[in-house]
Amino acid sequence: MTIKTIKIASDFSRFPSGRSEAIGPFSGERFRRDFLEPALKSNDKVIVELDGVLGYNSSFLEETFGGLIRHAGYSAQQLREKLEVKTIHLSLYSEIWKYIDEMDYTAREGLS
Amino acid sequence: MVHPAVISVPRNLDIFMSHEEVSRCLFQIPALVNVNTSIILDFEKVRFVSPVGALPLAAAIQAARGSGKCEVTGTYPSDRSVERILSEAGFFSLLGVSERMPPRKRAVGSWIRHLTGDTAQGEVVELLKDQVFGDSQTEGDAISDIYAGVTEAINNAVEHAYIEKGGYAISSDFVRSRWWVNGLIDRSRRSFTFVVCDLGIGIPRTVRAKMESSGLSHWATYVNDPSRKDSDLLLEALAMGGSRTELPWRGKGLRQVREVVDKLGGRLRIASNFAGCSYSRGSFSVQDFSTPVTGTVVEWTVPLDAVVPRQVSK
Repeated sequence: MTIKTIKIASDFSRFPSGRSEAIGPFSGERFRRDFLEPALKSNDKVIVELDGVLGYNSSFLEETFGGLIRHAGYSAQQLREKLEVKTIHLSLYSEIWKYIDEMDYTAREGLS
Repeated sequence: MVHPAVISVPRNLDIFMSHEEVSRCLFQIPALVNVNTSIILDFEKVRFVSPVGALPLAAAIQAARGSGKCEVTGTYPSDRSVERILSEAGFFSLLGVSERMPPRKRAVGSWIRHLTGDTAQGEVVELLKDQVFGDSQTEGDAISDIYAGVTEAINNAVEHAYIEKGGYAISSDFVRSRWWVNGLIDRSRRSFTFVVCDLGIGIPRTVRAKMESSGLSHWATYVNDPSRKDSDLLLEALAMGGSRTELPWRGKGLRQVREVVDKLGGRLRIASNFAGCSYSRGSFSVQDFSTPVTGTVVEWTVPLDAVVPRQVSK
């Protein structure tokens, strides 16, 4: 079983922000496309370590994690099996899984 | 040769306290730039300066200078304490006027000079933090909360504020997607104020533009109702948490702007187009302006003790 760990603060940026690459260099779109999707594709499990950054905004988090369903075709169930998010902040953890579940529902109901 | 025009800066440089006077002053700047007239800002009468007045003025000055069409300079105020504040807020260096007062080592108020950019840059929150607290330890969760709110306001400026051509009278590359940030630590009131502004089309006009292009007839009907004021649309956007695009996963940004004061306490105020809105302790109050604000100004005032441990901020 292959496991890949991505530390956002050291592997990507201490200042993640924004949804699309068009508005900034450390966007959710770029992190998902260049880091998270390749890691999920080539490993059995991916651990994303969230701590160590200055903060997160909802645009970044939704585009990164909700975007896995929207753009990469994963289901929430598949992500629960393959993806682990690590943080000391329970609210951050809950927010990410909320975006995943909301997008999963949206995709299943054909609302997107 | 055209003589420069003199604009008198209002006595209270605060967009909420003296809205009409400040907005009229701000409006004159792009109007003069468009006719290639240089400007002298007369600070003689100014007696009070707040971050929420200083930042839109700094933005208008930089936009005017960035247009390359004119010069902008200014006079010293007659009130020495105001001169010190303008100096600390960075106005004289912005206007190319020499600073006559040395910076104070320890002051009741510490200004964060305006910072600007045109992409979603989270680094600005670290710069803001460093300017105020230096190497002191701030409360980690508080900075995360501020980061979420400030960066969402910046993202809104970059992504949505300039969607309509000609949104600002000075249509230069310098202004497009641009945001500004400043702030003030007030140790006597034990508060931390920070402001984000842009010179875009404003939240109410953004909501209208997005709804008209969304194809959602019920929203188009809502926003095009002539009885619907800018304050209704601003409140709608802020209370509901977003710009109501047709995409269900969008529109979470304004909720995070609001959550800063839900988590840290204090007050949020937004001025945009013909509307002002204040939010504190879960309650909103709105204001209708007769002179519009160019773009959007977002101001948070939070208790200093929620951001930095008391012994550090003494």
